[in-house]
Amino acid sequence: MKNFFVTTSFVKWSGALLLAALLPLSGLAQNNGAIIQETAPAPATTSTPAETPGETPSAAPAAAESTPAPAPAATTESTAPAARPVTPTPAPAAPVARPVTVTVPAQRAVPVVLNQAPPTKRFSDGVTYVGHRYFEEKGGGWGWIKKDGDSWGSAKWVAIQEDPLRGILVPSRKMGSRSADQDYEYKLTGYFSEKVAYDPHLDETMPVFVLESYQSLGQAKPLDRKPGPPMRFTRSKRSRSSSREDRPVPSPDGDSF
Amino acid sequence: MSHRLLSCLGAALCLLAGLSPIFAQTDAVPVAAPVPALVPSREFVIVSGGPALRTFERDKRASHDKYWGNFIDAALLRFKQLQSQLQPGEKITWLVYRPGYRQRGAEMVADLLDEVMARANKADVNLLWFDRAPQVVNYLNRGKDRKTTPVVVFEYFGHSNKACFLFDYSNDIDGMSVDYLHVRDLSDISQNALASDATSKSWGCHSGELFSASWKKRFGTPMEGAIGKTDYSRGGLPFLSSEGGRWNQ
Repeated sequence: MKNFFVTTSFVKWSGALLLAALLPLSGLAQNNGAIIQETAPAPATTSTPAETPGETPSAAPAAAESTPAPAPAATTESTAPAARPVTPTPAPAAPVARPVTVTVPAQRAVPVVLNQAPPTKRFSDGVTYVGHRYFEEKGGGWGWIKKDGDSWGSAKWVAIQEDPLRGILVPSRKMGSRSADQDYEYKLTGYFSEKVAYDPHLDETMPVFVLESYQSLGQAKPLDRKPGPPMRFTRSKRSRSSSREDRPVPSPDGDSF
Repeated sequence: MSHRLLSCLGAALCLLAGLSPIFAQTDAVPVAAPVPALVPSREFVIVSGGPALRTFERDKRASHDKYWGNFIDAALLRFKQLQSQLQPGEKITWLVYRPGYRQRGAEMVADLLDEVMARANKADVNLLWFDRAPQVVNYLNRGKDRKTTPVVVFEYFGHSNKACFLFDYSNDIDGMSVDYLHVRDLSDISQNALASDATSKSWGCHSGELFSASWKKRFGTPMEGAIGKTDYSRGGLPFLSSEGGRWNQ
């Protein structure tokens, strides 16, 4: 028995067993499941095709346009970090790769267009209109426009949309001053836009007439109408009874900017 | 005897090999504690309105937007100032009124949309074009899940009067606006779109005279706005140009 414990073979076996027992404490086997490797950052932009610039979207009512919009950040979401917490999984028994930093070359941004409404085709509606010019010092409206043949009582106080790039401008621009054609009347071709113009000087809104061409009918008698959109008069009537807080108050100076 | 000694030495060596990692200088990669990826929890939104056409403005006494990029350059400068508030992984969202720059670019025979995009890329912000004012409302309401990602910073660079943000001004129609956000439209924006401690600022003219108060009434958080006019003509952030002008909440 004593001889057994001192024999060489026993020592060899003991060493081997001791080595096997201590092996897990060495550095040869690792558990690095806790290390999160950085992934190469996603490109700064996506390949989301840009909306073709061009048609002005139709001025759909705000209620319609308030329907849920698709998250427009396809560009942003694809570059954002993961939206959910990630539970790291243990890595295999292999040397841990160090985080890799990748330099992404600058790319051209192709931003997403929010909730693009379908474009509206612009065309003249074939109706001939007659316009009566009235210049207001502080206002942005052009005057009254009605269908040819209708009474002036049915005319609307409008803003006129010009197209400088196509050379379509209101008559007064060729006459030297904005008031040069006061009380002139014109035969007009064009159409009423779906847009609504806001006059920031008077805090008023009015319809927009898109001008395509005009023919001067010369100066006419002033119309027996007060200038301005209907809301100017309903607001005046309401102001007698409404509180000051209800009333949108225009800026004190003519140029509110 | 020598054999016995060699065996003992062998066993000792094995023992030392097993225990060596305890004493060795560590060259192994340390095990880090697990860090979950963060859910974006807030958003910075900056809105830039469009410039006027020079065709409409050039002969006016108070001529607007001699330089096309007033509201772009000011926003870019502001991005730099806000960078320090961003957390890792966060980016500013920049909403820009596209028709204004498209049409001004056509007047200048220049691709201003491309120019804006290049500057956005350089500033590393998320650029989103909008064509109509309701799209801004839609984005504030639903651009992200506002329950988890409310807007914490909202700022506006552009034309305005006391009652209105004028995303378009004197571009479609001389002296008027066809795309705007009036105080009457604030009720279309969800009250939950903004965080309870959000900071807001309008860098346009006159906002502090009415719009700011309406904003606070709607969202419960103040909006800093100007009493009087703001002027972008020096480049960078606009300055108060009216006598007695001041910032107000």
